[in-house]
Amino acid sequence: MPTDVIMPALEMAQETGKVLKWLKAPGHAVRKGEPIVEIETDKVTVEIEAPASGVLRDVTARAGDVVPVGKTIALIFAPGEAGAAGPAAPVGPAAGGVPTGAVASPPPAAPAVKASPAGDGTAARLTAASPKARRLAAERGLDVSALRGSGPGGAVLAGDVVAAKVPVAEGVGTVWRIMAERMTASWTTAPHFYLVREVNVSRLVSWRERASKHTGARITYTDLLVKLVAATLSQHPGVNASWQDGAIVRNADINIGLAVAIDDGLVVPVLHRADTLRLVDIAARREDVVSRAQAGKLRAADIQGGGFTISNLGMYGVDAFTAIVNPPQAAILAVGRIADRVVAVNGQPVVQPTMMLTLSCDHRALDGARGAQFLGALAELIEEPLALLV
Amino acid sequence: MTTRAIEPRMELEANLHMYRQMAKIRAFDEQVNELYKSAKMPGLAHLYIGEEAVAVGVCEALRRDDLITSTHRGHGHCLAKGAAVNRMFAELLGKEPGYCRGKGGSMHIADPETGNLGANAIVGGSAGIATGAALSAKMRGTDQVAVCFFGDGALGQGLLYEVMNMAALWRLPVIYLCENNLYGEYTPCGETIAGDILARPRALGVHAESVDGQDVQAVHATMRRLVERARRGEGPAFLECKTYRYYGHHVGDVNREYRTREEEREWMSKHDPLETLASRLTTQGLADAGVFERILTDVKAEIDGGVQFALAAPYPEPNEVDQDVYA
Amino acid sequence: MSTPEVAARELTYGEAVREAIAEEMRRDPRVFLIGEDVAEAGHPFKVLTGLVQEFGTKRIIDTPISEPGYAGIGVGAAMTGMRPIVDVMFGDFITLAMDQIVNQAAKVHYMSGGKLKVPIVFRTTLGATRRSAAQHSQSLHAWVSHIPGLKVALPSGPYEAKGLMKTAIRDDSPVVIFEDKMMYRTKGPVPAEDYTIPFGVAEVKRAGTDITIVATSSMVGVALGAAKLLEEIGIGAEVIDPRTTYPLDKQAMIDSAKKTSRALVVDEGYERYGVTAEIASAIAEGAFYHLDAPVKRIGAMDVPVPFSPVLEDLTVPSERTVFETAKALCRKA
Repeated sequence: MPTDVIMPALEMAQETGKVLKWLKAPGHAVRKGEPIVEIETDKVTVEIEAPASGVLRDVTARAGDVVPVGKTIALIFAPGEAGAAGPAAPVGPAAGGVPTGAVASPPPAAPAVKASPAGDGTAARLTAASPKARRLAAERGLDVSALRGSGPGGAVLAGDVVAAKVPVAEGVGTVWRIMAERMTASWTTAPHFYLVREVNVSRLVSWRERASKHTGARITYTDLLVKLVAATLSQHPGVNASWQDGAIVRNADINIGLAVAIDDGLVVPVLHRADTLRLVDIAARREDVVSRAQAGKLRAADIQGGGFTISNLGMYGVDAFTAIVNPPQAAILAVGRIADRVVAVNGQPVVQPTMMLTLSCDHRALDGARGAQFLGALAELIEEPLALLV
Repeated sequence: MTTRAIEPRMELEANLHMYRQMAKIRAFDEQVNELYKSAKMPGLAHLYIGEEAVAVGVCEALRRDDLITSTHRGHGHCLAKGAAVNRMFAELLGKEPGYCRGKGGSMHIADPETGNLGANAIVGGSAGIATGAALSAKMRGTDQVAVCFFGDGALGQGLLYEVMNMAALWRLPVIYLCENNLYGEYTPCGETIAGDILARPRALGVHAESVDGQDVQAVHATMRRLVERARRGEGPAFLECKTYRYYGHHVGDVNREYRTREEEREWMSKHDPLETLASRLTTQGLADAGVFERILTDVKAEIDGGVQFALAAPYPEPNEVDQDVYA
Repeated sequence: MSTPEVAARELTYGEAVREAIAEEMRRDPRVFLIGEDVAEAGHPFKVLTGLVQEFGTKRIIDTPISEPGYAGIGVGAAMTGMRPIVDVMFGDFITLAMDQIVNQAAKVHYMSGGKLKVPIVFRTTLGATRRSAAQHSQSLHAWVSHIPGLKVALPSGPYEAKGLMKTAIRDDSPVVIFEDKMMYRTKGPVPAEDYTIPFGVAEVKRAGTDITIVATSSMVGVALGAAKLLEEIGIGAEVIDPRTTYPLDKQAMIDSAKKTSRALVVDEGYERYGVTAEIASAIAEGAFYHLDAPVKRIGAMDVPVPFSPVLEDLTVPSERTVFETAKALCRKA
């Protein structure tokens, strides 16, 4: 039995995924875990890994097709399995050492699951474009329907695709476009309110120094904040929630997303079950996903299941800012820089290192009081991290 | 013993051979009729039965390397020129060992080995080919003769007169052999032929004669003269053989409303070519009924063997379909 | 091998045809020529002048005005060991001999299961603008290009006229070769030595990067003229001459169209259901994902060729129409 390659459901409420690009051609050998196709969800672009080793065949979704989640988009035949031998020679050493010539290759039997190219890409077909323009656009990951055509009746010609390449690459990559769409959706549907609090981070600063020294790992303030936010969320599960179809849904796990700026825009890789992770694990995991995000190598699992997001712009010298909630999450924490500030302590001006925290909340899922309680609890932990041990 | 004793014996053998050839053609086409009606043979079948004396009388006057062109009603010509029964049947059934590897069928049997340049399903379509073959023979310096078989229907085709004109101009060794069986497809020839048939070739300077096409000895004797004449370089000839097709235009033509049953009975009973020859030889005391019966038995065995061969033969492989489009 | 003198030698198109026939007749005693006014008259275009003096009336055979008759005689001679060249004075007259060409010559080899061969050349003409009106001006090569069993050659200049004729005569299958009657006096370099041009191999007459112009026979010169005009406005046209419509070198035209992403097909046959349609479809199919514009074609106008020069000239593709069409395909105003 061949293994199905399925259009994955990567997030809640996701109904379809778009095939951006096949990284392996039909007939080629693939190894389990090797990225085989790039999928675009309404959240992000990810690489889908081969669910099994064998030969990729019966690819039913082409680049540009929008396919319902759960649909089979290709099959992987185990080496030697009927249908595994294909017209194209497998690349690399044949898995299992089966020489392709030794495998009889009758016309492949109709696969049990034969997904029709769902979605049909009708939208793309409505755009007039020359065959060459379509091919070039596909090769460059561009959507011809988004291009201005200079041909008869506005048809997109090859020259339009070539000309479009520069501004598109600089301004609106896929990731950027997704970010724009999602932020627009959040801003226009989620009623936002903001809670601002300045916290004393003297202890946080010394904790980071000690932890770095102690573990030998590079521990960042973000790592510490993940640890503290996770702990706070476990006490305030109402913040680890979302508004969905008229109900507040609480998340089962504490999965904290980190807003990461990459060349093309913004992505939010997730640290899953952050409440269970040690600080060094958090640091290692953070370093892994951030570096892969920047390399454009995020996988499906990396971006799935986030319940709360931290966005830290402190390294850019920002004092404080208000973030837009990452839908469908209930809240996002915007973190400013650490700076020495004059604060009143017992009626006297005192200089302390402080940090401005701004919690943006979706008022449908959270109210001011609950948000304030969460932020207060978090502030206390930041000011006295030893309370974690209690 | 003198040659006077040998010659009649040789002549008898020649006559019995002609009888055998005619019997073979008749048995062949009767078998074709059976194959066709039992849906074993695809396409169309135009039976030669009734006209056997023409093909045999003509071809017995030819050498193996002389050339003929044939017609849609051509099984008799092919057999008379020497084609084998089994490969003929195979071709008719569209089988691989057929004379044309199953690509020609009943109306296109060609066999260069026996000088048969092919049957032609365009009425009168081979007049040019036969004339060209005669021109070629002359240019190549051989003494081959070409015979163009056609029916009375072909007298309506302009091509025939164009090539007879050139054959006469260039004194080509070609004989235009008109099998006048009185019907062009479903139309009596009286409705399609104006004037005198022989006057047409004569107007072009082509020597023309007419002969009883049901009398194989008469056809043969006439042809020998015409062939010798052509070989000597005396130019083309036209021979009208008056004959009759016993069946319709093709096997499916069963009602034959264009002619009467009385007319058919008259030809079959009084002008049958096999009967005519057999009774003449019997009357002359040269053969008895047993001789002819033995011939018929032999012929039947040959036909039966040929049919069995063809029925058992394989069809052409599918990859044969685009072979031989170009040489 | 070839001395500079030889390389520089120029012949007219008509002389090149004659030289090809004469060389082949000397080489092979089976070759002969048959047709109307071919001997003493040397053909209405004087192409055959002198052949009868060398080869005599037994091999240069004048016939009555009987196209079906002598075409059929040619077929019969070809089937029995000769290699005839059948001369059909005007391309319009092949209609008279169509049964012999289409039902006999083209089919004998196949119908006989490959046992009989018909090594025959039908030599005829195409091309308008000779003020000869509707029955002496047609370019009917599409008719025979349609028929399996026939090969069709369209020499576009003196060099091709000799090379393609010699290949045609040596071919074992029936070949119809259409000479452009307007080009008989056109001069061009023709090697004196023996050479042939293979069938089914297109020639790139001019390289270019912006548009492929496939042109046949009389239209090759027109396309090259248009290419010069296009160059002046910055469009590089690649001109390809298929040289034979069957066998057709589809790959050469597809490869060129893939490179330029635009294609225009020009042929002097009637445009509808014409040679241009066949070639355009081959390009559209083979180069589809590389095309940036629809494949366009220009043939003769779909009217009987008129007599009046003013009207006749309108019916034939010209440098100007090819230039304008190519320019529009390249989106140049």
